[in-house]
Amino acid sequence: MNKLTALIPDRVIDGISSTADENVAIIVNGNSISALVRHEDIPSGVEQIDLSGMTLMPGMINCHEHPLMYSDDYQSAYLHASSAYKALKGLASLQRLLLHGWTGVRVLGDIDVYYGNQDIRKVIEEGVFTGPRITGAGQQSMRPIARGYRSLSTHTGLKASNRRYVQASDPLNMEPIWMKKPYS
Amino acid sequence: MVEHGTYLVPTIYIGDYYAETQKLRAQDKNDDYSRNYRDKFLTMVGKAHKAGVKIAVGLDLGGYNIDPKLFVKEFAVLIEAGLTPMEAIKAGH
Repeated sequence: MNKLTALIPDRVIDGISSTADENVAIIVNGNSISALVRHEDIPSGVEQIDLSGMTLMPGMINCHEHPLMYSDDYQSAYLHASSAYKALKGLASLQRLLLHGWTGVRVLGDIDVYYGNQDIRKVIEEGVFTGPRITGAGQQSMRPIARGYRSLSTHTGLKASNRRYVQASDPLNMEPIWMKKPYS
Repeated sequence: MVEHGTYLVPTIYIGDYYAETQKLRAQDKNDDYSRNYRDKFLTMVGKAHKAGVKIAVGLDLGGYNIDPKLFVKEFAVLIEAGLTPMEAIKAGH
């Protein structure tokens, strides 16, 4: 059995109630929260950690994110780095977010034609690296020969005629595919 | 949206971030949009919230280049749009 610990802050926000509760202790079993109890109901023999002056609340969920965008000029960044480079910086950035309280991140596609975000999620789930829970689509969902292609051309100075292939997404399984331009 | 229980993820602060920092010329059109329509945008988010649409927090800020402390600013703009502080916190859970 894991060691039980009681966290005793001044206030707990549970994410459901409309007010913070001032008489709650959080019982932690190993790495998991096992119960919320009144101060007077803290089991005897449990290690107590005094968090006076602090408020505890559940981890935050960011429902719209693109972790691989490592640069402000994100549209050029799309083409200026490998998938591995983007994934490594993406993992570092997700780990920083976790340390700032963001425990869930929903990816709405990203600046990568391969599997950067899927592999970040995989290594986190395998326990190789720590990081937030990740859900969502790895690849940008866009109409073929449409938004992404035009915007990449605009911001990289590439002429449309110079690019024979465009990147798109399979809308069903969110996996990247390459499509040959139907015109040239 | 109320009928189907659909969440609205307004993603407001990203507009402020680029408009305030003017970091990217390619973003100029979006910056104009943020400056000119910000009030209307916030009003519409507030109306949706009042009508019972579920609101959730989303940032769209990207990754490595962004100070992670900035991400909580979405809670502040949701309050500006009409959510109470606790409603904004709950939108992030």
